Amino acid sequence: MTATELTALTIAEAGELIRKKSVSPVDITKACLERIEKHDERLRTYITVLADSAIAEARQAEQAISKGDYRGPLHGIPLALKDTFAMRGVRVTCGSKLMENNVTDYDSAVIERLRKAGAVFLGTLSMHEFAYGCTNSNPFYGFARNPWDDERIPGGSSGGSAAAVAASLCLGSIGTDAGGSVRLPASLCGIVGLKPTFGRISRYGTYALSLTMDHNGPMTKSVADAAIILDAVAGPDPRDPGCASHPVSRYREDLAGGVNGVKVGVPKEYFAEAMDSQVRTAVTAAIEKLRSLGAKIEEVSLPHCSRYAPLTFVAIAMAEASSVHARDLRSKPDLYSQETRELLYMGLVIPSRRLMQAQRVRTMLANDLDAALKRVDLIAMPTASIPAPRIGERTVNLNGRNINTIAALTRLTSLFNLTGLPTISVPCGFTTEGLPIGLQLAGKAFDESTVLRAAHAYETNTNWRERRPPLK
Amino acid sequence: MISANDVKTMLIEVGVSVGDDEAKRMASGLTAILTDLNKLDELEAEEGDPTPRFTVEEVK
Repeated sequence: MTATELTALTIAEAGELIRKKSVSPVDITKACLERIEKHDERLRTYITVLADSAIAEARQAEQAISKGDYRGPLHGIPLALKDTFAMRGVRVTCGSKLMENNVTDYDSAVIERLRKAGAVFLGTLSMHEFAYGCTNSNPFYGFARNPWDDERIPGGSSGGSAAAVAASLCLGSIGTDAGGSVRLPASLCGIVGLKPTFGRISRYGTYALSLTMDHNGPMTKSVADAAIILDAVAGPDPRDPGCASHPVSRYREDLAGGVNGVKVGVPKEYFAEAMDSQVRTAVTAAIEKLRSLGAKIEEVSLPHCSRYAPLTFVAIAMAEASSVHARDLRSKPDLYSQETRELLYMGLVIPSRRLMQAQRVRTMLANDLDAALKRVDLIAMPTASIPAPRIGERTVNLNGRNINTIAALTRLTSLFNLTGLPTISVPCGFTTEGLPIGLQLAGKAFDESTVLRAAHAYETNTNWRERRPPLK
Repeated sequence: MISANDVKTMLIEVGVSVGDDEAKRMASGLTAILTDLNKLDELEAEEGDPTPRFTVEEVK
Protein backbone atom coordinates (compact mmCIF):
# COMPACT_ATOMS: atom_id res chain seq x y z
CA MET A 1 0.00 0.00 0.00
CA THR A 2 1.16 3.55 -0.65
CA ALA A 3 1.67 6.03 2.18
CA THR A 4 -1.50 7.87 1.09
CA GLU A 5 -3.49 4.64 1.13
CA LEU A 6 -2.17 3.76 4.60
CA THR A 7 -3.14 7.09 6.14
CA ALA A 8 -6.57 6.95 4.47
CA LEU A 9 -7.46 3.76 6.35
CA THR A 10 -9.99 3.82 9.13
CA ILE A 11 -8.97 2.44 12.53
CA ALA A 12 -11.13 -0.64 11.88
CA GLU A 13 -9.49 -1.28 8.51
CA ALA A 14 -5.93 -0.64 9.74
CA GLY A 15 -6.55 -2.72 12.88
CA GLU A 16 -7.62 -5.69 10.82
CA LEU A 17 -4.59 -5.40 8.51
CA ILE A 18 -2.27 -5.10 11.52
CA ARG A 19 -3.89 -8.11 13.18
CA LYS A 20 -3.28 -10.15 10.03
CA LYS A 21 0.27 -8.76 9.90
CA SER A 22 -0.43 -7.48 6.38
CA VAL A 23 0.52 -3.96 7.41
CA SER A 24 3.14 -2.73 9.84
CA PRO A 25 2.28 -0.21 12.59
CA VAL A 26 5.67 1.36 11.86
CA ASP A 27 4.75 1.94 8.21
CA ILE A 28 1.41 3.53 9.09
CA THR A 29 3.03 5.72 11.75
CA LYS A 30 5.77 6.85 9.36
CA ALA A 31 3.17 7.55 6.66
CA CYS A 32 1.25 9.78 9.09
CA LEU A 33 4.43 11.60 10.12
CA GLU A 34 5.33 12.23 6.46
CA ARG A 35 1.86 13.57 5.84
CA ILE A 36 2.10 15.85 8.86
CA GLU A 37 5.41 17.13 7.51
CA LYS A 38 3.84 17.78 4.12
CA HIS A 39 0.53 19.38 5.08
CA ASP A 40 0.66 20.67 8.62
CA GLU A 41 2.63 23.81 8.00
CA ARG A 42 -0.53 25.05 6.27
CA LEU A 43 -3.23 23.26 8.28
CA ARG A 44 -1.63 23.89 11.72
CA THR A 45 -3.39 20.98 13.37
CA TYR A 46 -0.54 19.85 15.66
CA ILE A 47 0.90 21.73 18.63
CA THR A 48 3.50 19.04 19.40
CA VAL A 49 4.61 16.20 17.12
CA LEU A 50 6.13 13.21 18.94
CA ALA A 51 7.89 11.63 15.95
CA ASP A 52 10.60 9.65 17.77
CA SER A 53 8.46 8.25 20.55
CA ALA A 54 5.66 7.44 18.06
CA ILE A 55 8.02 5.35 15.93
CA ALA A 56 9.38 3.66 19.06
CA GLU A 57 5.83 2.85 20.23
CA ALA A 58 4.93 1.54 16.78
CA ARG A 59 8.03 -0.72 16.83
CA GLN A 60 7.05 -2.04 20.26
CA ALA A 61 3.54 -2.76 18.96
CA GLU A 62 4.92 -4.53 15.91
CA GLN A 63 7.21 -6.71 18.01
CA ALA A 64 4.44 -7.58 20.46
CA ILE A 65 2.05 -8.52 17.67
CA SER A 66 4.70 -10.62 15.91
CA LYS A 67 5.09 -12.57 19.19
CA GLY A 68 1.34 -13.18 19.32
CA ASP A 69 0.55 -10.53 21.94
CA TYR A 70 -2.21 -8.77 19.98
CA ARG A 71 -4.24 -6.45 22.23
CA GLY A 72 -7.11 -5.50 19.94
CA PRO A 73 -8.16 -3.05 17.24
CA LEU A 74 -6.18 -0.08 18.59
CA HIS A 75 -2.90 -1.98 18.85
CA GLY A 76 -0.33 -0.17 16.72
CA ILE A 77 -2.81 2.49 15.57
CA PRO A 78 -1.37 6.05 15.38
CA LEU A 79 -3.66 8.50 17.16
CA ALA A 80 -3.24 12.12 18.22
CA LEU A 81 -5.22 13.75 21.02
CA LYS A 82 -6.32 17.29 21.71
CA ASP A 83 -3.63 19.18 23.63
CA THR A 84 -5.55 18.98 26.89
CA PHE A 85 -4.96 15.44 28.18
CA ALA A 86 -2.11 14.94 30.65
CA MET A 87 0.53 12.71 29.08
CA ARG A 88 3.57 11.67 31.07
CA GLY A 89 6.72 13.52 30.01
CA VAL A 90 4.96 15.51 27.26
CA ARG A 91 4.26 19.24 27.13
CA VAL A 92 0.48 19.75 27.30
CA THR A 93 -0.50 23.40 26.84
CA CYS A 94 -4.30 23.39 26.60
CA GLY A 95 -3.70 25.76 23.70
CA SER A 96 -2.52 28.43 26.10
CA LYS A 97 0.50 30.55 26.86
CA LEU A 98 -0.17 30.09 30.56
CA MET A 99 0.66 26.39 30.26
CA GLU A 100 3.26 26.63 27.50
CA ASN A 101 5.89 24.86 29.64
CA ASN A 102 3.51 22.44 31.36
CA VAL A 103 5.05 18.95 31.28
CA THR A 104 2.96 16.47 33.22
CA ASP A 105 4.37 13.54 35.18
CA TYR A 106 1.33 11.32 34.84
CA ASP A 107 -1.10 10.04 32.22
CA SER A 108 -4.71 11.12 32.05
CA ALA A 109 -7.28 8.32 32.18
CA VAL A 110 -7.86 8.33 28.42
CA ILE A 111 -4.14 8.19 27.62
CA GLU A 112 -3.68 5.44 30.19
CA ARG A 113 -6.47 3.35 28.67
CA LEU A 114 -5.36 3.95 25.09
CA ARG A 115 -1.79 2.95 26.03
CA LYS A 116 -3.19 -0.25 27.54
CA ALA A 117 -4.98 -0.88 24.23
CA GLY A 118 -1.64 -0.48 22.42
CA ALA A 119 -2.24 2.84 20.65
CA VAL A 120 0.64 4.92 19.26
CA PHE A 121 0.70 8.65 20.04
CA LEU A 122 1.71 10.95 17.19
CA GLY A 123 1.42 14.19 19.15
CA THR A 124 -0.99 16.73 20.61
CA LEU A 125 -3.50 18.68 18.55
CA SER A 126 -4.44 22.32 18.24
CA MET A 127 -7.43 23.73 20.10
CA HIS A 128 -9.11 26.97 21.04
CA GLU A 129 -7.27 28.47 24.04
CA PHE A 130 -8.40 26.52 27.14
CA ALA A 131 -11.18 25.02 24.97
CA TYR A 132 -13.09 28.27 25.54
CA GLY A 133 -14.39 29.00 22.04
CA CYS A 134 -15.63 27.36 18.89
CA THR A 135 -13.49 28.85 16.11
CA ASN A 136 -10.08 27.40 17.02
CA SER A 137 -8.53 30.83 16.45
CA ASN A 138 -5.47 30.56 18.64
CA PRO A 139 -3.05 33.49 18.90
CA PHE A 140 -0.31 31.37 20.48
CA TYR A 141 -0.08 28.29 18.25
CA GLY A 142 -1.70 29.45 15.01
CA PHE A 143 -5.16 29.01 13.52
CA ALA A 144 -5.95 25.45 12.53
CA ARG A 145 -7.52 25.40 9.06
CA ASN A 146 -10.34 23.38 7.58
CA PRO A 147 -8.95 20.78 5.11
CA TRP A 148 -12.02 21.13 2.86
CA ASP A 149 -11.27 24.84 2.35
CA ASP A 150 -8.23 26.16 4.15
CA GLU A 151 -9.62 29.70 4.24
CA ARG A 152 -12.31 28.45 6.60
CA ILE A 153 -12.30 27.49 10.27
CA PRO A 154 -12.38 23.83 11.33
CA GLY A 155 -14.66 24.75 14.24
CA GLY A 156 -13.67 24.25 17.83
CA SER A 157 -12.63 23.87 20.39
CA SER A 158 -11.28 20.50 19.21
CA GLY A 159 -10.59 21.94 15.75
CA GLY A 160 -7.09 20.52 15.42
CA SER A 161 -8.46 17.04 16.11
CA ALA A 162 -11.21 17.34 13.49
CA ALA A 163 -8.92 18.81 10.85
CA ALA A 164 -6.15 16.25 11.51
CA VAL A 165 -8.55 13.30 11.25
CA ALA A 166 -10.21 14.71 8.11
CA ALA A 167 -6.81 15.32 6.48
CA SER A 168 -5.56 11.85 7.52
CA LEU A 169 -2.76 13.28 9.65
CA CYS A 170 -3.70 10.65 12.27
CA LEU A 171 -6.16 7.77 12.25
CA GLY A 172 -8.30 9.05 15.09
CA SER A 173 -8.46 11.43 18.02
CA ILE A 174 -10.19 12.27 21.27
CA GLY A 175 -11.47 15.78 21.91
CA THR A 176 -13.39 17.47 24.69
CA ASP A 177 -16.92 18.84 24.46
CA ALA A 178 -18.41 21.32 26.96
CA GLY A 179 -20.81 22.99 24.52
CA GLY A 180 -20.27 21.20 21.21
CA SER A 181 -16.49 21.11 20.91
CA VAL A 182 -16.32 17.53 19.61
CA ARG A 183 -19.47 17.49 17.46
CA LEU A 184 -19.21 20.95 15.95
CA PRO A 185 -15.70 20.63 14.46
CA ALA A 186 -16.58 17.06 13.43
CA SER A 187 -19.52 18.45 11.47
CA LEU A 188 -17.53 21.27 9.89
CA CYS A 189 -14.66 18.94 8.89
CA GLY A 190 -16.78 16.00 7.67
CA ILE A 191 -15.85 13.41 10.31
CA VAL A 192 -17.65 11.58 13.12
CA GLY A 193 -17.70 13.12 16.61
CA LEU A 194 -19.24 11.34 19.60
CA LYS A 195 -20.06 13.05 22.88
CA PRO A 196 -21.02 10.17 25.16
CA THR A 197 -23.23 10.48 28.23
CA PHE A 198 -21.85 12.72 31.00
CA GLY A 199 -19.65 10.52 33.14
CA ARG A 200 -19.18 7.77 30.57
CA ILE A 201 -15.47 8.57 30.00
CA SER A 202 -13.24 9.57 32.89
CA ARG A 203 -11.98 13.15 32.86
CA TYR A 204 -9.11 12.40 35.22
CA GLY A 205 -6.16 14.35 33.82
CA THR A 206 -8.29 16.34 31.35
CA TYR A 207 -7.99 20.11 31.84
CA ALA A 208 -11.38 21.39 33.01
CA LEU A 209 -13.50 24.09 31.39
CA SER A 210 -17.00 23.48 32.73
CA LEU A 211 -17.23 21.00 35.58
CA THR A 212 -20.85 20.01 34.99
CA MET A 213 -20.70 19.97 31.20
CA ASP A 214 -17.23 18.68 30.21
CA HIS A 215 -17.18 15.44 28.25
CA ASN A 216 -14.37 13.59 26.44
CA GLY A 217 -15.30 12.05 23.10
CA PRO A 218 -13.86 10.17 20.12
CA MET A 219 -13.33 11.97 16.78
CA THR A 220 -12.90 9.57 13.91
CA LYS A 221 -13.34 8.85 10.20
CA SER A 222 -16.15 6.38 10.81
CA VAL A 223 -18.79 5.45 13.38
CA ALA A 224 -17.18 2.04 13.87
CA ASP A 225 -13.92 3.79 14.79
CA ALA A 226 -15.74 5.90 17.39
CA ALA A 227 -17.14 2.69 18.87
CA ILE A 228 -13.66 1.13 18.95
CA ILE A 229 -12.25 4.09 20.87
CA LEU A 230 -15.24 4.19 23.21
CA ASP A 231 -14.76 0.48 23.94
CA ALA A 232 -11.20 1.27 25.03
CA VAL A 233 -11.79 4.35 27.16
CA ALA A 234 -15.32 4.11 28.64
CA GLY A 235 -15.98 2.99 32.17
CA PRO A 236 -15.80 3.87 35.84
CA ASP A 237 -12.84 5.71 37.36
CA PRO A 238 -12.88 6.70 41.05
CA ARG A 239 -10.33 9.44 40.33
CA ASP A 240 -13.01 11.46 38.50
CA PRO A 241 -15.93 12.19 40.88
CA GLY A 242 -18.12 12.86 37.83
CA CYS A 243 -17.39 9.49 36.24
CA ALA A 244 -20.36 7.13 36.25
CA SER A 245 -20.35 3.61 37.62
CA HIS A 246 -23.01 2.61 35.09
CA PRO A 247 -21.95 -0.58 33.25
CA VAL A 248 -20.41 -0.19 29.80
CA SER A 249 -21.51 -2.10 26.74
CA ARG A 250 -19.50 -3.57 23.86
CA TYR A 251 -20.10 -0.70 21.52
CA ARG A 252 -18.49 -2.10 18.39
CA GLU A 253 -20.47 -5.33 18.69
CA ASP A 254 -23.65 -3.28 19.22
CA LEU A 255 -23.27 -1.56 15.82
CA ALA A 256 -24.96 -4.37 13.91
CA GLY A 257 -28.70 -4.55 13.57
CA GLY A 258 -29.65 -1.41 11.69
CA VAL A 259 -32.41 1.01 12.54
CA ASN A 260 -35.48 -1.02 11.68
CA GLY A 261 -38.16 0.00 14.19
CA VAL A 262 -36.00 2.61 15.90
CA LYS A 263 -38.12 5.69 16.66
CA VAL A 264 -36.49 8.96 15.63
CA GLY A 265 -37.96 12.24 16.86
CA VAL A 266 -37.63 15.43 14.83
CA PRO A 267 -37.97 18.45 17.14
CA LYS A 268 -40.28 20.87 15.37
CA GLU A 269 -39.05 23.98 17.21
CA TYR A 270 -35.49 23.56 15.95
CA PHE A 271 -36.54 23.09 12.34
CA ALA A 272 -38.77 26.17 12.56
CA GLU A 273 -35.74 28.36 13.26
CA ALA A 274 -33.28 29.94 10.85
CA MET A 275 -30.71 27.61 9.36
CA ASP A 276 -28.70 27.49 6.16
CA SER A 277 -30.92 26.15 3.38
CA GLN A 278 -28.35 23.56 2.27
CA VAL A 279 -28.00 22.32 5.84
CA ARG A 280 -31.78 22.01 6.13
CA THR A 281 -32.00 20.10 2.84
CA ALA A 282 -29.16 17.70 3.72
CA VAL A 283 -30.44 16.95 7.22
CA THR A 284 -34.02 16.50 6.04
CA ALA A 285 -32.76 14.07 3.39
CA ALA A 286 -30.72 12.21 6.03
CA ILE A 287 -33.82 11.79 8.20
CA GLU A 288 -35.70 10.47 5.18
CA LYS A 289 -32.83 8.05 4.58
CA LEU A 290 -33.22 6.76 8.14
CA ARG A 291 -36.94 6.30 7.37
CA SER A 292 -36.09 4.32 4.24
CA LEU A 293 -33.86 2.10 6.38
CA GLY A 294 -36.79 1.23 8.63
CA ALA A 295 -36.70 3.93 11.30
CA LYS A 296 -40.03 5.39 12.43
CA ILE A 297 -39.88 9.15 12.12
CA GLU A 298 -42.15 11.35 14.16
CA GLU A 299 -42.32 15.00 15.09
CA VAL A 300 -41.59 15.80 18.73
CA SER A 301 -41.76 18.99 20.73
CA LEU A 302 -39.05 20.38 22.99
CA PRO A 303 -41.00 23.47 23.99
CA HIS A 304 -38.32 25.29 25.99
CA CYS A 305 -35.13 24.05 24.44
CA SER A 306 -34.46 26.04 21.29
CA ARG A 307 -35.28 29.36 22.98
CA TYR A 308 -33.71 28.82 26.39
CA ALA A 309 -30.90 26.27 26.04
CA PRO A 310 -28.35 28.68 24.51
CA LEU A 311 -28.70 31.35 27.18
CA THR A 312 -28.92 28.82 30.00
CA PHE A 313 -25.70 27.36 28.65
CA VAL A 314 -24.03 30.79 28.51
CA ALA A 315 -24.83 31.55 32.17
CA ILE A 316 -23.58 28.21 33.47
CA ALA A 317 -20.59 27.83 31.16
CA MET A 318 -19.31 31.35 31.82
CA ALA A 319 -19.60 31.00 35.58
CA GLU A 320 -18.02 27.54 35.62
CA ALA A 321 -15.13 28.49 33.31
CA SER A 322 -14.37 31.58 35.36
CA SER A 323 -14.37 29.58 38.57
CA VAL A 324 -11.83 27.16 37.05
CA HIS A 325 -9.56 30.07 36.08
CA ALA A 326 -10.27 32.42 39.00
CA ARG A 327 -6.84 32.16 40.61
CA ASP A 328 -4.66 32.40 37.47
CA LEU A 329 -6.90 35.10 36.07
CA ARG A 330 -6.08 37.32 39.04
CA SER A 331 -2.40 36.45 39.35
CA LYS A 332 -1.33 36.07 35.69
CA PRO A 333 -3.90 37.88 33.51
CA ASP A 334 -1.33 38.76 30.84
CA LEU A 335 -0.80 35.09 30.05
CA TYR A 336 -4.32 34.88 28.61
CA SER A 337 -5.30 36.19 25.18
CA GLN A 338 -7.43 39.32 25.31
CA GLU A 339 -10.51 37.46 24.03
CA THR A 340 -10.30 34.65 26.60
CA ARG A 341 -9.37 36.97 29.47
CA GLU A 342 -12.36 39.23 28.85
CA LEU A 343 -14.76 36.30 28.57
CA LEU A 344 -13.42 34.92 31.84
CA TYR A 345 -13.69 38.31 33.56
CA MET A 346 -17.30 38.59 32.45
CA GLY A 347 -18.01 35.16 33.93
CA LEU A 348 -16.82 36.41 37.30
CA VAL A 349 -19.69 38.88 37.47
CA ILE A 350 -22.60 36.77 36.23
CA PRO A 351 -25.14 37.39 39.02
CA SER A 352 -25.66 34.39 41.28
CA ARG A 353 -29.42 34.88 40.89
CA ARG A 354 -29.07 34.25 37.16
CA LEU A 355 -26.88 31.22 37.72
CA MET A 356 -29.43 29.64 40.07
CA GLN A 357 -32.22 30.50 37.66
CA ALA A 358 -30.26 28.89 34.82
CA GLN A 359 -29.83 25.72 36.86
CA ARG A 360 -33.60 25.58 37.40
CA VAL A 361 -34.22 26.08 33.67
CA ARG A 362 -31.69 23.33 33.02
CA THR A 363 -34.07 20.98 34.87
CA MET A 364 -36.89 22.19 32.62
CA LEU A 365 -34.82 21.41 29.51
CA ALA A 366 -34.00 17.95 30.84
CA ASN A 367 -37.70 17.38 31.49
CA ASP A 368 -38.51 18.34 27.88
CA LEU A 369 -36.01 15.80 26.59
CA ASP A 370 -37.15 13.13 29.04
CA ALA A 371 -40.71 13.53 27.82
CA ALA A 372 -39.65 13.33 24.16
CA LEU A 373 -37.38 10.34 24.78
CA LYS A 374 -40.25 8.45 26.39
CA ARG A 375 -41.89 8.50 22.94
CA VAL A 376 -38.82 8.06 20.73
CA ASP A 377 -35.37 6.46 20.93
CA LEU A 378 -33.42 9.25 19.28
CA ILE A 379 -33.63 12.96 18.50
CA ALA A 380 -32.38 14.07 15.07
CA MET A 381 -31.35 17.58 14.04
CA PRO A 382 -28.40 19.33 12.39
CA THR A 383 -25.17 19.57 14.35
CA ALA A 384 -24.59 23.16 13.22
CA SER A 385 -27.04 25.47 11.49
CA ILE A 386 -24.32 26.66 9.09
CA PRO A 387 -21.38 25.08 7.26
CA ALA A 388 -17.81 26.18 8.10
CA PRO A 389 -17.50 30.00 8.07
CA ARG A 390 -14.47 31.82 6.69
CA ILE A 391 -11.66 32.60 9.13
CA GLY A 392 -12.52 35.90 10.82
CA GLU A 393 -16.16 35.94 9.61
CA ARG A 394 -18.03 37.50 12.55
CA THR A 395 -21.59 37.35 11.23
CA VAL A 396 -23.45 35.09 8.82
CA ASN A 397 -26.61 35.83 6.89
CA LEU A 398 -29.41 33.37 7.57
CA ASN A 399 -32.73 33.92 5.84
CA GLY A 400 -31.99 37.62 5.42
CA ARG A 401 -30.87 38.18 9.02
CA ASN A 402 -27.30 38.78 10.12
CA ILE A 403 -26.52 36.43 12.99
CA ASN A 404 -23.42 36.24 15.15
CA THR A 405 -21.29 33.39 13.77
CA ILE A 406 -20.53 31.87 17.17
CA ALA A 407 -24.22 31.85 18.11
CA ALA A 408 -25.10 30.23 14.79
CA LEU A 409 -22.44 27.57 15.29
CA THR A 410 -23.26 26.55 18.85
CA ARG A 411 -27.04 26.93 18.97
CA LEU A 412 -27.83 23.25 18.41
CA THR A 413 -25.19 21.45 20.44
CA SER A 414 -25.16 22.92 23.95
CA LEU A 415 -28.57 21.44 24.89
CA PHE A 416 -26.92 18.02 25.13
CA ASN A 417 -24.15 19.32 27.37
CA LEU A 418 -26.72 20.82 29.71
CA THR A 419 -28.55 17.50 29.86
CA GLY A 420 -25.56 15.16 29.48
CA LEU A 421 -27.23 12.93 26.87
CA PRO A 422 -25.15 10.90 24.38
CA THR A 423 -24.97 12.61 21.00
CA ILE A 424 -23.13 11.99 17.75
CA SER A 425 -22.39 14.04 14.66
CA VAL A 426 -22.14 12.01 11.46
CA PRO A 427 -21.48 13.44 7.97
CA CYS A 428 -24.69 13.76 5.94
CA GLY A 429 -23.75 15.75 2.85
CA PHE A 430 -21.89 18.64 1.34
CA THR A 431 -22.81 22.13 0.23
CA THR A 432 -22.37 23.13 -3.40
CA GLU A 433 -19.08 24.71 -2.29
CA GLY A 434 -17.90 21.32 -1.05
CA LEU A 435 -18.27 21.99 2.68
CA PRO A 436 -19.37 19.12 4.95
CA ILE A 437 -22.70 19.03 6.80
CA GLY A 438 -23.39 17.00 9.95
CA LEU A 439 -26.44 15.15 11.23
CA GLN A 440 -26.76 15.16 15.03
CA LEU A 441 -28.40 12.18 16.76
CA ALA A 442 -29.02 12.22 20.52
CA GLY A 443 -30.19 9.31 22.65
CA LYS A 444 -31.18 8.31 26.14
CA ALA A 445 -28.65 8.52 28.97
CA PHE A 446 -26.07 5.72 28.74
CA ASP A 447 -27.61 4.40 25.54
CA GLU A 448 -24.62 5.14 23.33
CA SER A 449 -25.29 1.82 21.59
CA THR A 450 -28.51 3.01 19.92
CA VAL A 451 -26.91 6.33 18.94
CA LEU A 452 -23.93 4.56 17.38
CA ARG A 453 -26.06 1.88 15.71
CA ALA A 454 -28.30 4.43 13.99
CA ALA A 455 -25.34 6.55 12.89
CA HIS A 456 -23.56 3.44 11.61
CA ALA A 457 -26.63 2.32 9.68
CA TYR A 458 -26.90 5.76 8.08
CA GLU A 459 -23.18 5.98 7.31
CA THR A 460 -22.91 2.54 5.75
CA ASN A 461 -25.93 3.18 3.52
CA THR A 462 -24.59 6.45 2.15
CA ASN A 463 -21.28 7.30 0.52
CA TRP A 464 -20.33 10.60 2.16
CA ARG A 465 -17.37 9.01 3.93
CA GLU A 466 -15.73 8.16 0.60
CA ARG A 467 -15.00 11.83 -0.14
CA ARG A 468 -11.59 13.19 0.77
CA PRO A 469 -10.58 16.82 1.34
CA PRO A 470 -8.80 18.36 -1.67
CA LEU A 471 -5.43 19.00 -0.01
CA LYS A 472 -2.97 21.03 -2.05
CA MET B 1 -27.01 49.48 29.54
CA ILE B 2 -23.92 48.69 31.55
CA SER B 3 -21.18 51.33 31.40
CA ALA B 4 -17.42 50.83 31.39
CA ASN B 5 -17.35 52.30 34.90
CA ASP B 6 -19.98 49.76 36.05
CA VAL B 7 -17.76 46.98 34.71
CA LYS B 8 -14.73 48.35 36.53
CA THR B 9 -16.68 48.57 39.77
CA MET B 10 -18.09 45.05 39.44
CA LEU B 11 -14.67 43.62 38.72
CA ILE B 12 -12.99 45.48 41.57
CA GLU B 13 -15.53 43.83 43.86
CA VAL B 14 -14.21 40.42 42.76
CA GLY B 15 -10.57 41.46 43.01
CA VAL B 16 -9.84 42.34 39.37
CA SER B 17 -8.68 45.66 38.00
CA VAL B 18 -8.99 46.45 34.28
CA GLY B 19 -8.14 49.39 32.00
CA ASP B 20 -10.56 51.69 30.19
CA ASP B 21 -10.45 49.96 26.79
CA GLU B 22 -10.97 46.54 28.27
CA ALA B 23 -13.84 47.81 30.45
CA LYS B 24 -15.46 49.43 27.44
CA ARG B 25 -15.35 46.24 25.36
CA MET B 26 -16.71 44.17 28.23
CA ALA B 27 -19.50 46.69 28.88
CA SER B 28 -21.05 45.96 25.53
CA GLY B 29 -20.51 42.19 25.89
CA LEU B 30 -21.97 42.08 29.38
CA THR B 31 -24.94 44.23 28.42
CA ALA B 32 -25.79 41.77 25.64
CA ILE B 33 -25.36 38.73 27.89
CA LEU B 34 -27.30 40.09 30.86
CA THR B 35 -30.09 41.41 28.62
CA ASP B 36 -30.40 37.94 27.12
CA LEU B 37 -30.51 36.39 30.58
CA ASN B 38 -33.52 38.58 31.41
CA LYS B 39 -35.49 36.11 29.28
CA LEU B 40 -35.14 33.64 32.15
CA ASP B 41 -37.50 35.87 34.15
CA GLU B 42 -40.08 35.64 31.37
CA LEU B 43 -39.85 31.86 31.39
CA GLU B 44 -40.23 31.57 35.15
CA ALA B 45 -43.18 33.95 35.03
CA GLU B 46 -44.84 31.71 32.41
CA GLU B 47 -43.93 28.29 33.76
CA GLY B 48 -43.17 28.68 37.42
CA ASP B 49 -40.17 27.24 39.19
CA PRO B 50 -39.49 23.60 38.20
CA THR B 51 -37.34 22.85 41.24
CA PRO B 52 -39.00 20.16 43.39
CA ARG B 53 -40.11 21.49 46.76
CA PHE B 54 -40.50 19.51 49.94
CA THR B 55 -42.85 20.21 52.77
CA VAL B 56 -41.58 20.21 56.31
CA GLU B 57 -43.50 16.96 56.85
CA GLU B 58 -41.78 15.29 53.90
CA VAL B 59 -38.36 16.36 55.11
CA LYS B 60 -39.10 14.93 58.55
